Amino acid sequence: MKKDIFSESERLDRITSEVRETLTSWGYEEVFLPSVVEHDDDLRKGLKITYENEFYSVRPDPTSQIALNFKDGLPKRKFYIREILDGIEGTFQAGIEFLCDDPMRNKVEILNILISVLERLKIEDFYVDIGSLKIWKETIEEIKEHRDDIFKALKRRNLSLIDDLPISSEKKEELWDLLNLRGGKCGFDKIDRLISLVDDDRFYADLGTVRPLPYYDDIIFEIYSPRAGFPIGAGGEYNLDGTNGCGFALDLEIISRIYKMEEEDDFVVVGGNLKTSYRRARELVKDGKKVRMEI
Amino acid sequence: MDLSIALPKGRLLDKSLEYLRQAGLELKVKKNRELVQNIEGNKLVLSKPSDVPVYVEHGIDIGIAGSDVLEERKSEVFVPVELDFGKCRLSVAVSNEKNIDIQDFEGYTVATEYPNLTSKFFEERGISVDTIRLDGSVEVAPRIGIADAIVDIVETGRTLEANDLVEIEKIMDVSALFMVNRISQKVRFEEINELVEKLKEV
Repeated sequence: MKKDIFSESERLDRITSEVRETLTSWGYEEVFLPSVVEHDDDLRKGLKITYENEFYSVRPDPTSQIALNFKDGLPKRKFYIREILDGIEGTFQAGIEFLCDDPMRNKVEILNILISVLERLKIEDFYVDIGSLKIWKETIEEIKEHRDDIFKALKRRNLSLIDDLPISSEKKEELWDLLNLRGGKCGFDKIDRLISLVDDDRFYADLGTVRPLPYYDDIIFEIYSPRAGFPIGAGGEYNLDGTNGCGFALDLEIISRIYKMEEEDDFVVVGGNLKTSYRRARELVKDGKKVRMEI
Repeated sequence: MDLSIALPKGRLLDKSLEYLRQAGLELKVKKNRELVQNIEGNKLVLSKPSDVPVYVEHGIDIGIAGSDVLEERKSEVFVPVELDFGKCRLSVAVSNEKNIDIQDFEGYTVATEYPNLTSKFFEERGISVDTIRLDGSVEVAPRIGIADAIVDIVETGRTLEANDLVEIEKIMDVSALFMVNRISQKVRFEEINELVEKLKEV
């Protein structure tokens, strides 16, 4: 939304409409979040401000905001579409969250909806890499005093940082091998089963996918396309007071770069007498048709 | 290999080309001033060193630049290998006559090409300073009185000495880094990993 606000808005309008319709078709309800909330250390991102000696966050990360507000009763299916701030930088995101008692169903549903959303946007050349934070946590259990350094190295695939750690060469090799473990299967049951249940050859097991966000618990995934230099989106599973949740967020501005906008041809063009033409248009809209008034 | 590659113009270029050549990726750079060159199927982008991480973050497959510029630009890229050249340090320096401790910097003005790293360094120590961003010849700032100190790259210390400055604290060690675009790493997994393995051996 920088240079040409109208043409970019037209694209985002089309994209958000498609995303909204798809998520609604899957039974998800849109959440309208307040722009300004009291600051909470559990809220990520946002623009932190003070007002009358109180701290607030403007447009923080919705996942943490939604998670903080989930009450009793399952399942829960929610989505949001909005601008998120990180300091003064904003990005438009669409995200969904699903809470239910069956952790595998949770992830299978979320990943199927992801496919559904991208296919609705006619983005077929996407890939999803699935990793596991739990596998990494277990692998470094015996050297957990180096946890922060290791995750820093993993996030950047930085072999040199791993080489500098005072750990055995066998362990370094194990970490490097795990970081490069990638394919249709990885030998870890949870990931392999998930990929088999989603049953789509655009999904890969990739232990090199490491995004240790505070709320992610185990399975994490990253969505990308060879046509975009940035990830299209990302997601993962989390645990909320003993209940399993899973969700993803799509970066709509990255999607906008690869989205091919097609001419909309389902409009009824209405023209003629000023009075009767608008009356006819009103009736068409009432019947669920789209109209474009001839000028 | 059909890769897009961002390399820094200036002192790191020759070494970068040499490291890539030894890793099996030879780029015969044309001696004209073309900033984007197609070399045997690869696309080479010659840029300001500080822009290399940004190019790689935005879709260029691989690049080489110093760890100072990567940390300053905070670019989201993979950094699989630190390379054994471009070694120097980012340091705080003041004029010889002002030679004081970092703790006494409160209210000082610091000139630098690295405003983010400078602010972070002083904020972590609870010291409030004003930062002036300059592009090059930062060491002039204290001499003409627009800054009390500088934060800049120090290699041998001779430039500081020539400008009557003294290094008082190191902020970070710097070396050249091999960077990979996050998506290229996934899409071109095998060939980039092969290049990384060879670069490790150089």
